[in-house]
Amino acid sequence: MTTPRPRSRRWWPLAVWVAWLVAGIGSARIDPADYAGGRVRDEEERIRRNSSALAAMLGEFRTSISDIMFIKTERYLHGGVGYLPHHSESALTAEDLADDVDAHQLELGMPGDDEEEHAGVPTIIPPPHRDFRGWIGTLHREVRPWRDPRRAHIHTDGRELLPWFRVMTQVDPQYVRGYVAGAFWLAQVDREAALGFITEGLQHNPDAFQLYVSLGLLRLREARAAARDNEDGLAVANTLWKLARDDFRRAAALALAQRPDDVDDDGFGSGGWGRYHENDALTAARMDYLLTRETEGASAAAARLERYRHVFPELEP
Amino acid sequence: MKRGRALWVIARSVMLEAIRRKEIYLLVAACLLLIGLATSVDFFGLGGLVKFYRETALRLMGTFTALAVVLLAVRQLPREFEQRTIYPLLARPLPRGLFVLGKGLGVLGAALFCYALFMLIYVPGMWYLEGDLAWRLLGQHIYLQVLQMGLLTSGAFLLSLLFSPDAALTLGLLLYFASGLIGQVALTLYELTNAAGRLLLYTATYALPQFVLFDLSGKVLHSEIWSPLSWPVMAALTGYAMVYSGLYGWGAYALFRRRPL
Repeated sequence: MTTPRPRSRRWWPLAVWVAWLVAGIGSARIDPADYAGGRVRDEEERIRRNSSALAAMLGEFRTSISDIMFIKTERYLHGGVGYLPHHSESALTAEDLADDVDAHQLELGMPGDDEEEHAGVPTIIPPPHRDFRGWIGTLHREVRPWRDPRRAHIHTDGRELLPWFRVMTQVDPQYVRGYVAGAFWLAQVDREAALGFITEGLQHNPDAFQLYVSLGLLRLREARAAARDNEDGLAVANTLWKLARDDFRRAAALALAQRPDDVDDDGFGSGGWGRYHENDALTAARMDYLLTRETEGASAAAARLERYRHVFPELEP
Repeated sequence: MKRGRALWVIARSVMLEAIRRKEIYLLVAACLLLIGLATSVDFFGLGGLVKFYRETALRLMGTFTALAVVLLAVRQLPREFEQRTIYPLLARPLPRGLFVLGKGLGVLGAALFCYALFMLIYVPGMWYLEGDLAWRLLGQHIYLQVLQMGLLTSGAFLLSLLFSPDAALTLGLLLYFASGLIGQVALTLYELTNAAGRLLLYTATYALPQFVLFDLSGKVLHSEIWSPLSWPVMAALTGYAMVYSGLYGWGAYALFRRRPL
């Protein structure tokens, strides 16, 4: 049996711990917005931002945390069932994500309904015939959310994903993908909040053209809703189309400035440029052309098209 | 002294000591601080988002309870020898097996106290957020967590008699936290390795405790989709926990009995 410590000294470890926490928080001036992630292209800027305390403590781990949270949102969407990553690169672009979200809305409010999409994707916990663990594997599949990979996926209400997008972008404000995906889910419940979220993303990532693409797509949705719901909807929609055109134009300008010269046929180039970037750049150019045609006329649109076709020859009038 | 009463006295002394030492409260306070931080984030001004709270709370509660169990369990038996408090106890007609069992029940009792404190916060939190508690699934989750605490206690006893307390603490926590990862790596490696490697992985899977089997939080989290586990599955999990706790406990008892006084 232990000898009790003197009463006056019992709480000193807790006091030291609390003091350490307070001192650490106070001196570190922790504000995730001050710190840059690993994907900032400007090396000088990255070094400047990463000289602060939180970045030094967490380093690249922050981006890993954000990636883990992003995977978690996919798992939430599938009712907790863990699948191997199965979204193609293109499905992560702003435009395709918007389509994806629209498709998912068909199942909103109908948790557990089958959806033919993605059937056949392997689960993280393997099916019985591929699991060497015998009855331990059987129990594992019973305890954890699991579904036969041959069956179509469960899709749940995307509303519950939102906290994870909020947290992942707070942890790593340079996580553009989180802003893009989060804004589209958020737009299903609150368009104003989605607009604010993208704006926040742009404050942290002013050169992220994907966010301008997201903004443009969001305004197009608003324009459609305005034209449908309001009496003077067409006037509102016209204004929104012009705003969306400007967003796509800005996105296209940024994308072309960032796009390397050595992009191959698959959309990959130097400096980390991938199909994800290429698809959004192409979307920005295409949407700028289409909306210019709607708002400024055919000749202005032809001029825009000419500007983009030397980079994207596949763009057609 | 009757055996039942002796068991109760030993278990009660462990529990009371744990409760009086304030460590549990410190763990509960740290856990609540983290849960509070997680729930204080404004999610775009939207209400009714309960899954984030539910997942954060369940995971933190499970982790901190496991931490409390390992911290308490690894020091129970070696300390009796170090501080020589074993002598007056064994001077009485008290079998060593009963002594180990009493210690284990005491640790389990303290862990239950810790988990009950968490639940006192979790349940009102869910009510406040107007979330569905999913009572049947939650009840099964709590029951499986209790089984896991028992398994962890017996495993920590065994480790504490095989290694120094610090090494036992490290190994115990490592086994608990890496259990899921080890299992997943084993599943992946099994496809790639040769016959000898497969035998090793198979042996490791059955020799090491599979803590992932006692975590029903994934289904509690998405309770709108998943049904409670069937009775045969619950019985199989109970059997697994009993057999493995018994084996580790027996190993600890055997080492404790051989230990020179």
